[in-house]
Amino acid sequence: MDIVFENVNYTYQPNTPFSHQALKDISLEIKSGSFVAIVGHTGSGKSTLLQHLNALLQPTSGRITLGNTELPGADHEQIKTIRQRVGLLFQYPEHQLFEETVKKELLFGPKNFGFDLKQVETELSEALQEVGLDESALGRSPFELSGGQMKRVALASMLLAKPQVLVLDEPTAGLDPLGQKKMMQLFQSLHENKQHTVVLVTHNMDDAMKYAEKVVVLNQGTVDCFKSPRELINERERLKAIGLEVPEPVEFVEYMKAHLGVLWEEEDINEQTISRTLIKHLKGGATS
Amino acid sequence: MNQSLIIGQYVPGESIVHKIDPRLKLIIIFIFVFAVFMANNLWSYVLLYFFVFTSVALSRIPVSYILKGLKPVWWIIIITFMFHLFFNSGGNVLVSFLGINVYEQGVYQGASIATRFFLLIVLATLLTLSTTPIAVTDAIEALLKPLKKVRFPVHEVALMMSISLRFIPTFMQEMDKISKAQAARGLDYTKGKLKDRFKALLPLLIPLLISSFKRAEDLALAMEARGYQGEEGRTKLRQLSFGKMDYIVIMSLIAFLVSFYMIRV
Repeated sequence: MDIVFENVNYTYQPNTPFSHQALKDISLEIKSGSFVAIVGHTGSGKSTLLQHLNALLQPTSGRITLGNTELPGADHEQIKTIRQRVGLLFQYPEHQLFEETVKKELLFGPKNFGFDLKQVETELSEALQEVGLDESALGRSPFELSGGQMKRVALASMLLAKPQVLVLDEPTAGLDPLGQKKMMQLFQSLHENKQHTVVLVTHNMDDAMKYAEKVVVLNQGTVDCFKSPRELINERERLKAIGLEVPEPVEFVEYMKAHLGVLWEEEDINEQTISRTLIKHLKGGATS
Repeated sequence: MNQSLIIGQYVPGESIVHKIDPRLKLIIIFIFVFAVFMANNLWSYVLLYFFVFTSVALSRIPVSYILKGLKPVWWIIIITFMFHLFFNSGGNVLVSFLGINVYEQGVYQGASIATRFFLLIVLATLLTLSTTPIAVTDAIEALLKPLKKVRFPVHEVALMMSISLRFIPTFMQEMDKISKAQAARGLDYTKGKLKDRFKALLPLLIPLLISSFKRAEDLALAMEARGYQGEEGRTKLRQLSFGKMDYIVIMSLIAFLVSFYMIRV
């Protein structure tokens, strides 16, 4: 399902001294089946924007179209359908666990959305495997698990509700580097093999550039730019100006160009293109 | 989050009301409580209103905001008024309908109780809006100090107060976050039978309880790690001291009290 924002504004606590406009005139379109990253500085409106994606917040003014539902104006049932179709995983989802066993925890979402629980129960072990957990975890208490495992349980619980869109808020926060990589690869495979739309909120520019097809850069509640990673590489100064880190490979290429006199002819910046260029450079002999 | 509940929500500002010593503010409220219950004629009430509204005006906090915060209290005020109106039977009958008599005394009593309520709540709200919770507990600790002679644990009580006040917004935020996380998982506690709605609170309360225990543990550890050992040898970051402004306020307070005493019968 396509997600379209048209001139969306959102104000927290309007008409009080604490009134704060978090989103200013946001217009953007997230195509069905795409992988979009939302990046921005703390307080840029990332999490406010993300909560609009499954109608936890509704715009103060403007319009959002989620598939065939429009916000504001959707009724109770429609909102429930949206929440099933758009699976949202908050930062530190391990804080939301409450059931006695992992199994009950996994069934919580599907039960709320009125799924046939017998059917879901047959899918439990597969869902656990998908997120990298063992089937034996089913009977254990979620509170016996480690932080990373709890995160995976929360993720599996979301996937069992069969969402079409995955909205992930800093999903790798608090994981070790290997766990981070594995989780990002899981999202990528869900995106590639199951055609899920993925919206990834992150402040890690490396992840955003590596996995996303398009990147939304938010700055103080407005969309600063909405470009593919390839185009974003040329916006180093702009990213720096709004306080975002430039991805390490990009910095590295800049350094090579400036200090080593390397001739850069590639479009993408990744391990292959960098090593290819370096090999070419070394074979051709140092020029500077 | 409940946005109409504003008691305890500090509105930063630079006004006189914000700046005077919190101890003085507490004393003023203490005196005002007595004054409100000693008022006994129209002019004394007018003077009380004048006092409260001058304070509100001086604080530069929008009146609409304070009134909005009174929303939950309006009902109590109205019910109290009604209660007196219908059940007090002193003086002459003013109106009589459906076999219910409304007496002169009823109207008078009802109006004065409602007024007293209103004035006290506005002033108390103003205190919490213009003073940080930390300043209030500091002031309470300072004012209760004499009780230490009878071995009342003043410092510990003040610390408990400031810790609990400090964590109210944190828990509200936490609650907000958890309820959103569960709503995203399809939890719905606004619809259905009462029993189901109570059941739907569990997914909110259990995570909240767990995180508060964790927080308490972390806080205790952090305090110990920084060598907290109770009051002994502790100094304060913000020393309370009376300034010129405070003396001016005290003078005006005395003037107010004298004229109030003269006016009442």
